[in-house]
Amino acid sequence: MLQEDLQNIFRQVFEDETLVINDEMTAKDVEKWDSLSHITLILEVEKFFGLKLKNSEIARLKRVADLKKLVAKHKPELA
Amino acid sequence: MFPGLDTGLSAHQGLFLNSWHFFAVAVLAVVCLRTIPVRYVRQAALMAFNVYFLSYFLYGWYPVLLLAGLLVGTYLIGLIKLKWGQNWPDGLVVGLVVLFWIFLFLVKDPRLLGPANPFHYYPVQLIGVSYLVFRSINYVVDVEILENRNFLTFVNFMIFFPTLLAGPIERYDRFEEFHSAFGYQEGPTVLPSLHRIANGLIKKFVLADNLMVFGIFMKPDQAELAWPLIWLGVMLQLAVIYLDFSGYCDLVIGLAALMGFPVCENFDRPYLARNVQDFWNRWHMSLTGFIRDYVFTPLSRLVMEKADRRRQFAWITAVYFFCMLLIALWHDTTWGFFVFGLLHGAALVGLQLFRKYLSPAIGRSGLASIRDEAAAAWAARALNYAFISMTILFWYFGVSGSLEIIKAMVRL
Amino acid sequence: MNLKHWGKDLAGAAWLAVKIAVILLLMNSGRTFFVYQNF
Repeated sequence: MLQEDLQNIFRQVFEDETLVINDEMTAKDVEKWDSLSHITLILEVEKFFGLKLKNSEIARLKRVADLKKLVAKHKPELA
Repeated sequence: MFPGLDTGLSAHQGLFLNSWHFFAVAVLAVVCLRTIPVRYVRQAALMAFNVYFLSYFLYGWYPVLLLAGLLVGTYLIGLIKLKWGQNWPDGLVVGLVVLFWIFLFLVKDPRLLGPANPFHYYPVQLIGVSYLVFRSINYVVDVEILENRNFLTFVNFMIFFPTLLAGPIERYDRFEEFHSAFGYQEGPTVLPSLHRIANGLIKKFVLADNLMVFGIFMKPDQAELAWPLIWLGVMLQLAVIYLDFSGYCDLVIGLAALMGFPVCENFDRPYLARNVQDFWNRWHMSLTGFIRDYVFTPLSRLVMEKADRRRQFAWITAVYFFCMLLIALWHDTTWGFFVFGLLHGAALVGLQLFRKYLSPAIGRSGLASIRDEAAAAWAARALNYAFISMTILFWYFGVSGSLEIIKAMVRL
Repeated sequence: MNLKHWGKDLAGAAWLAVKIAVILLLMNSGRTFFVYQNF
């Protein structure tokens, strides 16, 4: 389940077991989400789903929904 | 040396944003872009306005040739990358970006590398070159995922006249979306945009330009002033620069909005910043965003993927520092700006260290309640404002001059 | 006809007129460039 997997990754990266993600969430909504943890997040997502994202794709990620769309684009079977 | 404070531009006059001439151009541009339904005619009209505006800043053949070279060269590199770029190693793209940066530094500072610099004997001044190079990097790096990559759109993107002089640094994908659209209106309608423009004119031409004389840059014999007056001059200088730059941004953002182009924001109340990182997330945001997307992210990814886990923190710290130096030198290649970059880089590193080692300790101790007090936030803001103001001195007075003033400020 | 809308727009336009007056009266006509201009 894409949503669940992403949520687990988010919980792991931001060290918060209670974190619940929603489509509209952005870096502003999570305290520890800065440019650096953003990268860690991307790397974890890449590792988990077996993807390689381009830097230009990462730059465009603003909301969780964008991330979901990007993963789905690379792995259509998960959508 | 510092354009905003030295009007000694003898070779070329430029088109001033507080002139009736510019007002007429702006009105005409808005009317054309809002009333011409045929796409290519509308885009060609925009091109005409862009070239017209630009022409007032080109003083001879050198800048024309340089600009043409940059436009054609960048576009060609884009085409080549599209055709053969899938097999390129990551290093090649990085090398390309580095080349653009080198080009920028060589153009802006003909003394760099002496005669090895092609611009050493033939210096050229190209308006907004720092911004042009950034747009080029954006285009080349992202070219595969961009739409509407025709030369007309590309050129209009590069020399879009509202953002030509000093940004904000817009991205190609956002620009081409509205370049293709007609009658589209995102966000505020006419009255709010006019207010935005008026606010910009007031901030820049009423406030900043009139208060400029009270800033420390304009005071003679700065270190010999009475101590309170030195502080006043220094603190005021940052405010003047803010009003000047954000005023310009309000003006161009408002105008671009009327023309049908929502341009990204550059400021978010930077006087509320509590630390250096917060400051750069509120000041010249399009610059910070650009460096984050095209320098910080690729480098950090490399570190996180390749570096030994125990060394990652140190490497990331180095990346932060490097990014800060780039930001500083992008402004101008002087020792003053270099030291400015060092200071901001050091502050950023200090913040990282504080967050990693001291913050958890504070959280566990009784100090946490003090830290969360509103007064603590205001104290942080005041300290940060003072710090930033003092680092700005290096923009104008160079290293020794600034140290003189700072010494006088802390009464050494 | 939305009267409330009209009123707001009128107020907005009046406020804009005030700003324009301020600009025309107090604007520094020195032809300075912007501090962040890269030349």
